[in-house]
Amino acid sequence: MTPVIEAQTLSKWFGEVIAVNNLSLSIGSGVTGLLGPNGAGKTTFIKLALGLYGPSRGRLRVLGQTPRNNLGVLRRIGYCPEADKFYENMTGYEFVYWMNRFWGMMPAEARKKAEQACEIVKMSHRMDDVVSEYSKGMRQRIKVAQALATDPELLFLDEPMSGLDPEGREELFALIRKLGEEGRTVIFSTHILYEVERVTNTVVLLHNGCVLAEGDVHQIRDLIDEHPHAVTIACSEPHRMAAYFIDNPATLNIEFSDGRVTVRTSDPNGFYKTLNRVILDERIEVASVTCPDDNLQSVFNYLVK
Amino acid sequence: MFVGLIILGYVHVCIRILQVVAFDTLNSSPRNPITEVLRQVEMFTVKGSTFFDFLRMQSFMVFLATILAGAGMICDDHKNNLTEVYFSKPITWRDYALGKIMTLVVIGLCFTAVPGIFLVLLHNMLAASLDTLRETYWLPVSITVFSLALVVPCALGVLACSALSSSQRYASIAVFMVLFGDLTIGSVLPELLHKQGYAIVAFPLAINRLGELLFEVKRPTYVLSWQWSAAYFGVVCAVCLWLICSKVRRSEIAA
Repeated sequence: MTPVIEAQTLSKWFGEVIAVNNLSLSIGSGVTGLLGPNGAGKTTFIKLALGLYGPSRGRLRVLGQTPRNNLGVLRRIGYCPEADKFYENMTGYEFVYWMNRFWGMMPAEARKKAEQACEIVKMSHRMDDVVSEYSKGMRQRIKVAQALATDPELLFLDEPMSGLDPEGREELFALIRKLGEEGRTVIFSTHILYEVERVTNTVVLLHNGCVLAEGDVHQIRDLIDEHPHAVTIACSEPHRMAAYFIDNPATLNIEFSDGRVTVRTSDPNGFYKTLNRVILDERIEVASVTCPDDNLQSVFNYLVK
Repeated sequence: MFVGLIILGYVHVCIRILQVVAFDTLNSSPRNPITEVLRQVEMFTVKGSTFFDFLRMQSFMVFLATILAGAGMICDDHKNNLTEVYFSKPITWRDYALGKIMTLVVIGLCFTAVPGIFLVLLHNMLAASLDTLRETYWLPVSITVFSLALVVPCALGVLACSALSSSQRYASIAVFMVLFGDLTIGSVLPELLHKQGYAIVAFPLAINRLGELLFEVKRPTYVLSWQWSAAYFGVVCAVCLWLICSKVRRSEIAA
């Protein structure tokens, strides 16, 4: 299947600053999280994909075409920018309506689509209020509405959760998941790892303009198996449990706290085999087994190190 | 404020309508004793120069309306980071620039060409004979061309200042400063160099010179070459257009 976005040795620099560095990646349909700290090149990559920037080097294809100065591609893309500045005396509805008109819709269609988009982001009740009266979350929703209003195949959301309250975040998580399930491609950037995990398993990790890793979160996790893997076991006899791992050469460190033992190992597969055997043979009562670093934050930390 | 400006602009139009109606009504009754008297009054008669004067007087309203509507057009988009949203839609920087320019040109024409042509039509409708049509058939073209000569550089100048400024206020000040500087140089230079021709440095005078040509009006004050006026007009428009395009293009690249 043709990837929705395909970059080959893509670079973008501004003077002496390299924003995207020799980046090669392929993004398919569904929801993909573009993850990285500030300055990782997420926004630059999105703007390259939108054709707002031309690549300094390399090749980028979006929906099978080069996006730069390609209005055909832009017709199929929705974009929610990070900055939340508007014409403050405009209503949210007017903003979405005029964005639809710029897209090329006729007035009647633009009105209808603007209303529908405001409905989707749950802003119908406030869409006729001026933007200056909106909270940050409402402004964010209106931005998402203008991106959705044109019914795009590919949707770029640059830091869409910023400023949203927990309820708003959950609604947006659900909306992004729903858009993905409908077969659209949604690419959203964030530097908050939890947000990616809440929405998708597909992630592209960026750092200093380079791809650190891409793919399934768990596949990425496999990439770092050579790094210490922490497992916390809550059990009735933590010290006895620890004794079965202390002689293992793969065990790097053992810590105890409140009826729990945390083992750091460089061989997680071997560790879990041993753990299963100990639980079955030695009859140690285990309340829970958790991996405190089995999340994107730890993946990210490991890869950046 | 903008509505106030429109009303003010159309007060002048109403006065001119009264002038045309009164002139044509009296002209259609030659036996009226006032008719002959009023025919001698330059200000009252309706001829080519009437429309030229009307447009010249409207140019001030055009200037104010263009500043009010256009000074923030580009800089506010930059300030609000909206250029990246615009250019993420299927529009090019050419569409964007043309849209801004056309909006201001249409606003300007609403103060000049639209009422001007209406006055000509009214004049013909009220006229007693077809002679008026023969005398004024060329006026709509002159009015349109001169209106564009007034409106286009004004729109381009305001948008150029908007593209170069960070806020609507600075753009407005810049427009006033440029115009004031230009008029000052245009009035000082002829005195210093003892040559009236240098008055053409004042851009409004150069535009007026084109108007005089279009409306076949002879003004003894300045003897200026219309070719130079046309060239000056062209250069100013080209420079402003280049400034707008370069800034808008740059904003597309680095949105």
